[in-house]
Amino acid sequence: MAGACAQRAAVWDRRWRSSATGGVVRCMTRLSASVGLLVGLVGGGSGCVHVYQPMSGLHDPVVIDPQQPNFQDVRLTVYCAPGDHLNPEETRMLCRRVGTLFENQGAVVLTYTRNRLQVEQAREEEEAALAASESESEAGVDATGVSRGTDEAPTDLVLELRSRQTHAASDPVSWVLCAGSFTLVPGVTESSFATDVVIRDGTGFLLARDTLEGRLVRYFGVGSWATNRIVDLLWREDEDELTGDAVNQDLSADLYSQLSQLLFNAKMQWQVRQEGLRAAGGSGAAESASDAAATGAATP
Amino acid sequence: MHATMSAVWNRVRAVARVATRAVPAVPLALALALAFALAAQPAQAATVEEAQLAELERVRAEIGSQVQLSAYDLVDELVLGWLQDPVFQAPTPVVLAGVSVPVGLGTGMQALLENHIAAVLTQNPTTNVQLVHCPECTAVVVHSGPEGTVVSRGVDNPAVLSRLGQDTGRHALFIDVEAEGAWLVLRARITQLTPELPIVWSHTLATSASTPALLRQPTALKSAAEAREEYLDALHDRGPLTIPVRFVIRTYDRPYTEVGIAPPPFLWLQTGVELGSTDARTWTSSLMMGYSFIPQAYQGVMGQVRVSRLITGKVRSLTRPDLYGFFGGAAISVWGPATASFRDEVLTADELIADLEGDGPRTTFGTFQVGLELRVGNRIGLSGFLETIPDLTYSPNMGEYLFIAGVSFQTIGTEVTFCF
Amino acid sequence: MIFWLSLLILPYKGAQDPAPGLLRSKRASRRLECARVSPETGSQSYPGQIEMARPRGDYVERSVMICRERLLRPDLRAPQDEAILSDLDAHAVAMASAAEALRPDLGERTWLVETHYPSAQVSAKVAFATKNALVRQGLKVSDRTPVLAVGDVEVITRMDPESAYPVACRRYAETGALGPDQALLAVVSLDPRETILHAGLCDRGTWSWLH
Repeated sequence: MAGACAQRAAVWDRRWRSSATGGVVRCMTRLSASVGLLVGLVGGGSGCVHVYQPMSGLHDPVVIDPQQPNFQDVRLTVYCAPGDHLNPEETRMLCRRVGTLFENQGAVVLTYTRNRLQVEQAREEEEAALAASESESEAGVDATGVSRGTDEAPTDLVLELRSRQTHAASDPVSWVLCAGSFTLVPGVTESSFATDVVIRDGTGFLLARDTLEGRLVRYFGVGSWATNRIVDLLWREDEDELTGDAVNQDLSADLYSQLSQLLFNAKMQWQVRQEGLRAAGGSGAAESASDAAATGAATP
Repeated sequence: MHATMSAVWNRVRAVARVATRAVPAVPLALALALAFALAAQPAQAATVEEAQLAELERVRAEIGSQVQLSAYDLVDELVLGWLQDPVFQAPTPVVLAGVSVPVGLGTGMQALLENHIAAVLTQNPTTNVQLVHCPECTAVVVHSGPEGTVVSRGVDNPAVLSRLGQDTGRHALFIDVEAEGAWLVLRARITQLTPELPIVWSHTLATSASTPALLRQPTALKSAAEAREEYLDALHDRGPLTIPVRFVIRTYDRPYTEVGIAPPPFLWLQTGVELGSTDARTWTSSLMMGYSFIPQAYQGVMGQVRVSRLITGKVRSLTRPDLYGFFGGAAISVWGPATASFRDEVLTADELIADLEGDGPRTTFGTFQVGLELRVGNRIGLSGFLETIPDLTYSPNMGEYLFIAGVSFQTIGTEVTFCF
Repeated sequence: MIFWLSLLILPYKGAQDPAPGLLRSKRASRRLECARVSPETGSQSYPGQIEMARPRGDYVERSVMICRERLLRPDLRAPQDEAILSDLDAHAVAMASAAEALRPDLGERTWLVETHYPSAQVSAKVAFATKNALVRQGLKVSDRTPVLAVGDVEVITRMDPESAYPVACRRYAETGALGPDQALLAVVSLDPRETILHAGLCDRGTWSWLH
């Protein structure tokens, strides 16, 4: 009975507060609070949860351990072509880090922040100019976008990277709901990207080709951010966390693992091809080994 | 318990996975967070304990049971192919030489698959594939001769089989089922058991994990294309438009004050159209008109719009009930002696007398409702809803069943729907 | 009202998104293979769930993301096995195509298949798939496996892979295990760190790499 009375009192109290005057005051208060919240979120850059989802290729099984010297003494040239998805600065950064990734695995790396054809064309022009002026070029000149390495020896493997945006969308309904719910419902923006990986040997023979596709989703709003933050702190395991720098870590881990695996596969293809070419050159050694095996088979 | 299992899983993953975790150096824009750091920490190896192995076995069994139906479907598809285009022109003895299941799923599924193959072939004799028993064919045999000692299965060494008294020229059927990403793939080949072991027939079939099992009858096999056609026919049989007829009872909460008089329950008959967004009827919307009449008490008309969302799954089921959540709004106009309570003030004796002398009370108001509906086969529905009447939020003639986050729900309704 | 509508719609919007979130863990999301396709392509795969574009267009550009769940969890099999088996059909077709395209002169031979892979179970699967792919190319294929004497095997297994395969091939021809009207397609995994397979051809005692 007491509970029922208390409930009714509460009902009347709410009804009083939602009278005409109270409604205007409350509306103004909510409006100013939501505007303040929006300004705060936008200005502070917080309130966003970035989520990465591998779509295809990026989460394929990986066997290789990028901590090991998998490319000992392999001469590698990396071309990172800027495009609609990566500006030149981001391309340079990507190329530098990919170069370091393979240097750590024992490769001798040369990186270019242009596409291969542009670099080769520039090189030909440079050589023509040099021949004309009969002057020597200085080592380490960055005329073709070379960012590291001065090794003039022919390359063993060529890795070409090109990233492109395949889809971008902003869900207008979610933004209406976001505004209407005072950012409790997130406003959603997403983009999908594809990174084309082409690996050739020094002669231009195609060894491997793959496209790594992923998706980045941005949830804007205090509701989404706070809920995920709380769940991260209280419930999720470290590897399942979504807030903070998880998006960068996950994407980096996937991209670098896949690149390492693809390059290793290409290296094996290259070695098999080299072996085939050598075998085509002469098969005398195999004959003598066969004789040894025949002797072994005859042994009781 | 759940958390413990999860922790076990994580430890198992740590053993199996060779993953890297790179440390980001510079946070970039969302558009491309591609360029980041390198340093990768190798996963720490851990010891696989018995509990972890048991958990792995449990997961294997669970997945095995999930893919089993799809594997059965592939076998059915294979046998159907033999029915339509027989490998042999006359009944031919064939030894089931090998059935292999996806790596990692154990041997239990293998036995089930063998039984299913035998069952389907027995029930479809016109395939001309006669399964025969040949223990020597599948057993490992050791044969010593002048050329050496050879250890092999019987089917791999037909010369030995002939010496064991088996007929040469028989055929051996090999079946392999493998999980390849999202696809379950069945490969089959038939080899003639002659010394050269020529493969006389082979075939590869694939299905997707996201494709439901067809559950075909073993005696009336259908191709996947035919089954798909049946499914589409079932989806399309009603079209996106249905005409529901709905019986509704609305009851209003008693007022908190003793001076207020609650409206009586209202009985409504509604009909209109309901439109599904797709054949799957994941989203539906309806526009209904309603009429209510109790002699000497009240009459009413109403218009109602409602949007429903399927909660149980992404596609309406052809076999089990579907649950929808819905919200909507209605405009209701009622008149008659019993409708005097739809006022935002306490009824007085003068008002009641005036109503009797004049045209009687008449009220029009708007409502919003949320609720759940259980729909069986898209033909019969049972639903319940809560309804708020914003105009009468402060009416002393009506209480509220539920007050949540500033909204008073004064009405509870139940409905029975028949769709045509 | 918008606030209430927002809260009502929230669970449905979240449940459909394949990206990790409150209702889907990263692990579950990583089990999905996704591709963005046109509504026409999507409705072919999921009739009833995805509606095709109307003949006069939809007034907005629509695309559909289709996700398929991988059948097995990534930790149920060894990583290399998982990598090979996930793309088994593609590997088999690639090797059969290489054999048929690079050596059209061997079209009349009977092909034998041999697999060199650390796991016997996976090895059998690879051989099965390759044989089926060769038959699909219209080639004559045999289930026979060429064998060598124990002495041969002892010597060959002590050699490095570079010379072991040519020697084994020559011995197959010399001992008659591989006849002149037969060709052997060897499917080889050369390194436990790679996720691809290589194909070698043994023809009348001569070994060559195809893939």
